[in-house]
Amino acid sequence: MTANVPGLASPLLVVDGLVKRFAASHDLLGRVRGRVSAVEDVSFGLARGETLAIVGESGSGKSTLARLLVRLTPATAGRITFDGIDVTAAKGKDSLALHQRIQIVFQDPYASLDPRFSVGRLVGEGLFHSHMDRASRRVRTIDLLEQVGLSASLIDNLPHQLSGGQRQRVGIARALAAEPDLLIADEPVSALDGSIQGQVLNVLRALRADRTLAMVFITHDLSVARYMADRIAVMHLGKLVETAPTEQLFARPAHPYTQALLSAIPRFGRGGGARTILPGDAPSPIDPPPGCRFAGRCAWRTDLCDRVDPALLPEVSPEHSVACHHWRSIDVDAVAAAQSA
Amino acid sequence: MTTLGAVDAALVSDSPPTPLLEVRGLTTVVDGDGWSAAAVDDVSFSIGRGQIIGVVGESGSGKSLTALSILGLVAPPIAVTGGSILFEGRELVGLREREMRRIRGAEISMIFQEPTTSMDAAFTIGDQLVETIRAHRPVDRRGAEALATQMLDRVGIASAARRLRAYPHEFSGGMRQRVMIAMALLLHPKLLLADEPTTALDVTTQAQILELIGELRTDLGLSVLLISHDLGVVLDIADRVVVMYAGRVVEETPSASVAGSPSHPYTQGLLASKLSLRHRDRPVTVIDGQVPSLRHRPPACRFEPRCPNRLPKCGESEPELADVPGAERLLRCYNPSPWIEP
Repeated sequence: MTANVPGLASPLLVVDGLVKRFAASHDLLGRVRGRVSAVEDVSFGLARGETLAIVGESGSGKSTLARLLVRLTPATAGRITFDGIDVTAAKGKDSLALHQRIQIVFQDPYASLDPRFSVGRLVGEGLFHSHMDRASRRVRTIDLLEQVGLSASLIDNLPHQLSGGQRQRVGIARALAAEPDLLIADEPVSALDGSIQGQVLNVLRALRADRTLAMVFITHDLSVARYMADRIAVMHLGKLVETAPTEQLFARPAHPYTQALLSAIPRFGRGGGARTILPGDAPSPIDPPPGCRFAGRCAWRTDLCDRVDPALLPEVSPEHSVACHHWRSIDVDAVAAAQSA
Repeated sequence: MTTLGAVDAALVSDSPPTPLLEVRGLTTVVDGDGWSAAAVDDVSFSIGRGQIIGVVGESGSGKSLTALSILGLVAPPIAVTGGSILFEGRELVGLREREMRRIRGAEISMIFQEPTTSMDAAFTIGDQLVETIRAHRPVDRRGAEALATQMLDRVGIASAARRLRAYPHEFSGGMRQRVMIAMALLLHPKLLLADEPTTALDVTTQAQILELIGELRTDLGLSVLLISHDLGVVLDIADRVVVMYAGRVVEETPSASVAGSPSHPYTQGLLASKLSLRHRDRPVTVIDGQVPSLRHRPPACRFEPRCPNRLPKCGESEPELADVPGAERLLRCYNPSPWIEP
């Protein structure tokens, strides 16, 4: 199948039919007994300078997707193409170039920075590709720290002397040092206190503004996704269930799962409509059923859903795709009214 | 959710003059190597019967230690050094461990963020529930199992009798939290202390658990102290909100007025940073700086270094937590400004 990339003439990144399965367990002879389908037939594209948010809950496969994009784990099937380079097969020079051009920021700023290294060294390492001398490295490091809102006086500090928000900004500065074309941000604010999250979001938002850096922003939080992204892809149990430009997704959420996620956003005591409470739990990604993976929790389920897995198709609008047999019969207006209340 | 307001009003007007729990001037001190600091500093609030009180604060605010202090679960180098905790008129501070043990679980119960750490992975859910019941009540195993099944059923676990044979790892995170709530409610306590009960859960599961806590309050008349870093979670189901910052209560007010018009600059900052996410064309509203560490708290108002409204006197003396005239609200601030929604 071809990637569903509406309106992208020359995408920077094309993900096509990406699959990642893990062995869930082995029997006595070491044969695989069950397979976790972490990422299943995921396709999307990303334009230069665009920010795409991948939204999903735990077990949705969003972090596995991030790891596939930066080649921290090999794909089981499918293809990732970055600026014409086949990411999954890249070797030698291409591989080195990808290391520099695709960077990642992790969720936990306490685990992702080596505690023995100073801020200057941590950020300076990102300049590996530049062949700068010591003095110009230091100048560039200070530039980068200032770009993420950190004082140059922190350059000799160790990670434990920094707050969570400062650490996360060091992580961003280090990623930026490589002058990437694509930044993968895997839950970059979810480990931070509420009053600190905004500091990091504002740094990432400023990066977005100059439109040279593309971003894949991975989050469980739809309100953060709305703030950061041009487009949102909702992921559920390894599959994309809905993709749309941000405002279209909020104005007309088509997939029942997206609707439930939207309804679960706290409304800060404003009351409003009844919220959608999903029954039961997300099913296990180990040997998932053949039909729609959301069917077990869905109010609109029919026999068709149990038999046939719905494809992600641009049916709502050319830019707005949904993977649901019944999205047309769901009373979206009622759902939207409950949201805006 | 909308009906809870009415229920609350009825409960408040009918509630007896003594609240279920009254915390007055609670001070819990951490002793370090050559220093000591009050992690919970002169904290007061009360909980009526059938009320849900939310405590909001970021890491280091002292909100979890407040709950642990109520249950007498602090141990050196941490100790309750002052104040009073009256539960149904009975003083809990200084109570002997033997007597405290009778209250824990039976009168006041607690649930935590990560349910797995409060369960024994080597025993079935049934074993753990039965053990809890039989430690406190003179029933045989069969009778205890019946009670356990009933309670699992009450918290929304399907085929409860069969699930008694399951081990903790066989449950999902949301189901484990339900089991944990069932375990906490087995002995029909009057008060549930819930410390970040939904933080480790997905948003759709969080919505389920909050719904369950609201139902238990309505059906069983349970009182709940709901502790969370997430203002949205607390405003969702609490009747009143206590906002803590660096060991101090800075604002206490009905939930509806926090949502409508938060008064303390810190509360305003927390709410504004969430609400400002709706405006894609503007930067997020940010509270500058960071929460001070236990050892380096500002001398006067603890929020002063981060406060957009600070006056010279805010750095000289700390304001009292005082009644706001004409409002059901307590506020600790010299210079509150009107709330402007971002």
